[in-house]
Amino acid sequence: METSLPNGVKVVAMPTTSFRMVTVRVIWRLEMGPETTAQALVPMVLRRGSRRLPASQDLTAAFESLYGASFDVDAQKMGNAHLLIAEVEVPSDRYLPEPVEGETLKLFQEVLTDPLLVGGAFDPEYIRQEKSALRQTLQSIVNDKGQYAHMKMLEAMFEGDPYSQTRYGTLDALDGTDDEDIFRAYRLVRDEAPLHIYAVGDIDAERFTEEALELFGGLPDRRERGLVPPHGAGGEKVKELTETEDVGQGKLVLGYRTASSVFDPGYTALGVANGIFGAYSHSKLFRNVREKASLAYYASSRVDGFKGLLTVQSGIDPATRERTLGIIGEQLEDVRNGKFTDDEMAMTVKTMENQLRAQEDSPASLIMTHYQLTLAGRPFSLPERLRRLREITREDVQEAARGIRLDTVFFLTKGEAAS
Amino acid sequence: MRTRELARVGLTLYSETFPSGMEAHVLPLPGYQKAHATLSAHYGSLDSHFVTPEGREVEVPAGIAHFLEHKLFESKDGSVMDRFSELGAFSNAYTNFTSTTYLFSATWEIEACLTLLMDFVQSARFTPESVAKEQGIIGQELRMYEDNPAWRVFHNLLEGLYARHPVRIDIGGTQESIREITPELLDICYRTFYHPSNLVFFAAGNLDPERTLHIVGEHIKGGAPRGPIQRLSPDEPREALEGRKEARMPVGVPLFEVGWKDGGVGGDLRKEIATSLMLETFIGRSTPLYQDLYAKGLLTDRFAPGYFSGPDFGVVLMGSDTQDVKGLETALLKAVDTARRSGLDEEIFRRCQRREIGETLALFDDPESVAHAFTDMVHKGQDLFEMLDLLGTISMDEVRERLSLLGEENRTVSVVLPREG
Repeated sequence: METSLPNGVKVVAMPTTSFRMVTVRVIWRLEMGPETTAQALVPMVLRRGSRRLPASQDLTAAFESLYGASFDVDAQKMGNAHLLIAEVEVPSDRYLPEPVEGETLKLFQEVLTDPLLVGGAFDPEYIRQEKSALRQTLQSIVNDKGQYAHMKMLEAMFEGDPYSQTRYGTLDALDGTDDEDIFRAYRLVRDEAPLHIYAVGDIDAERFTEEALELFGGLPDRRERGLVPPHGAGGEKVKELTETEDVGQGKLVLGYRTASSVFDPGYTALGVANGIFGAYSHSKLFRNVREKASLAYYASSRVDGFKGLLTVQSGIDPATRERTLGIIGEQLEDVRNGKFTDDEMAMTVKTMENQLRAQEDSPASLIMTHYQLTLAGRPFSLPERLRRLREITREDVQEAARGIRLDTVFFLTKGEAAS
Repeated sequence: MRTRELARVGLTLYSETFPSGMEAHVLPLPGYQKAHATLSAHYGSLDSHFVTPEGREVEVPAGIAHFLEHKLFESKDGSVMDRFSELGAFSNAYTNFTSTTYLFSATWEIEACLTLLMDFVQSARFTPESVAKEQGIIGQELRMYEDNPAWRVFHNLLEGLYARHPVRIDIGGTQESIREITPELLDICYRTFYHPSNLVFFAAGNLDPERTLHIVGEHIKGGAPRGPIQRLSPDEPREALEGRKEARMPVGVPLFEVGWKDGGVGGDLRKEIATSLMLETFIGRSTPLYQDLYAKGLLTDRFAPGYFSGPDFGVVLMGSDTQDVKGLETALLKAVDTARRSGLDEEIFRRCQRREIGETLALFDDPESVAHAFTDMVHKGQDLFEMLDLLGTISMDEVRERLSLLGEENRTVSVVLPREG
């Protein structure tokens, strides 16, 4: 059940008896930009204390007392949109000796809209702590070499585009972010940002919507804004970057621009092309880089449909960079030229169908799938999505693959650590 | 077929023990699209010294259980993963200290997937060529872990805690040990550990229990049940081998982990839960201790305490990345001393109990999670479905008693620091 409250807040209630838990997730949408870091800090600071429960410990304890399995906040990138997310998961009343659902939503609303304010601003001590925690999160990205290589590839490929940042922004931006910046971002969240409230579980959809109206209906009016499809063609020449570090395994990350995105009809075919190329264990990358050439433990591709981006990642022996790149290039070329069997095509379509159906089994996937498809202007109905998938032809796949163009190659390899 | 009503989660469990000795369990989840099925061998990286069915005592190279897992995905008809993909299913496997688990998840063609799962795990073929090829792939898998500081800090911790027990050796083995693996050795392990008596089937989700158990029963190979496998384990002293392990790696933020070992709790689920509750009551999110360390910037929300145990080992561990290794270590160990002297807070304990109940209920909403938890526990002789009943009955005394685990002699601190210079 989808409702737009008078103030523009969207409420989506998905009642189902499949789950024992009730998941409530709110999503605010902002833009990636110079304020990404300040924006990402907003939910982190909100989580620390509300007006009624200013002490962090009391707030956490309150959720635990409601049998709360989780109370999480995070930020995500969806193309150049910046999503701020808060979620709580509690058992449905029918599995507990005492009801907690109503209390939970109230507490959640309180944390999100009635924060602890000191002299009209956020508590500076909480801000200091959250900035320090975020600094450490950003500094520790390099601890995971695969994640680090991915970040460096994006920085090079999208130079000058805010998408080049992580979902938390950058360390430099963090150093330049002060208390006022964060409070300004909060005002944007509170007063303007498109807001969706989702609930999945054994709930009464109408009652939930009424409760949401009561709790969130007083927020300032906001308007849904359309998303901008990706643009930017990239350079003519492939950018190649290498960084050395004291590692045993090289991390190869390739960035490709795709001609189609979630905003156009060709996107379904791109999904299939990506499946034949590298997304699965039957895909060409896994078969040829791993199983045939024994070069890697992992070699795979994935698509960010909101950005028109396809990435390939693999962990290899530093000496085999050229050979691996050669094999990766050949595989994509084969998809473009129709050198894939009907079997490869059928396996990919079936695997994707399986994934689409399985989304229904996870509250988080249900919510995010609904959110993304709605914003992309695509149908949410499962039968309709399955139908579109089954209609894809070999020619559609080849065409989508021809629209995939290599832009950037980043290689983290063994050598003297760069200082 | 036996049935068991799980009233607390509104579900029914269907089980069968087959004449070959194999156990199978099916947990239908009404409303689900997906079926998630696992076939799990009670055979992990710890089982490197054992007696074969022919009565011969053997010691095999480290990492062979994991290697064998990779190799079972190759059948005479080619890649098993491709066969699952042809059915539109996802397949995978994982090896840990005590078990090797093969799995698929599918929203259709579930019967064909079940047959495939049963068949491929129960047939093996090892050739020198395919062993050589796998050495290259697993070699890169191990390199990937070697470059991972989180893996290093954990592995070093176990190396510091244990003097002889094979839990100190990585599940995947070493670059050297995997080179010693031959088709003959794989065959010995396969014949010893993949008899139906040593396998457990578990599936959850969109399943017809009778039909599922029937298919499983029909595809069991091998006749009479076998007795328990004799697994040989060295005597492990009570004390930690080393109090401190330090490594240097290219990291942006240092990593800290502290661990305490005991002899494990075996099949005693009460004691296992009491241990988890002790840790949560001591340093869970809503404790003043956690809040204080967080406010001081000594830890982040990546900090999580845990207890993991096998048949004859158990480790409490806690840690995270931290900018101040010394500060975190000092504060934590001081807090341990205080807790051991003055006990734990009863109100926090009650709250943690509630959160655990919420978390355990949440397990049943995810076929993968429930299967994972089930197989993990079944090989230890623990019963996942007793968890919710037991959780509310654990007393503060039982929890307090587990504090004695956090001693000094059985403790190791492991840190990974940035490279000097």
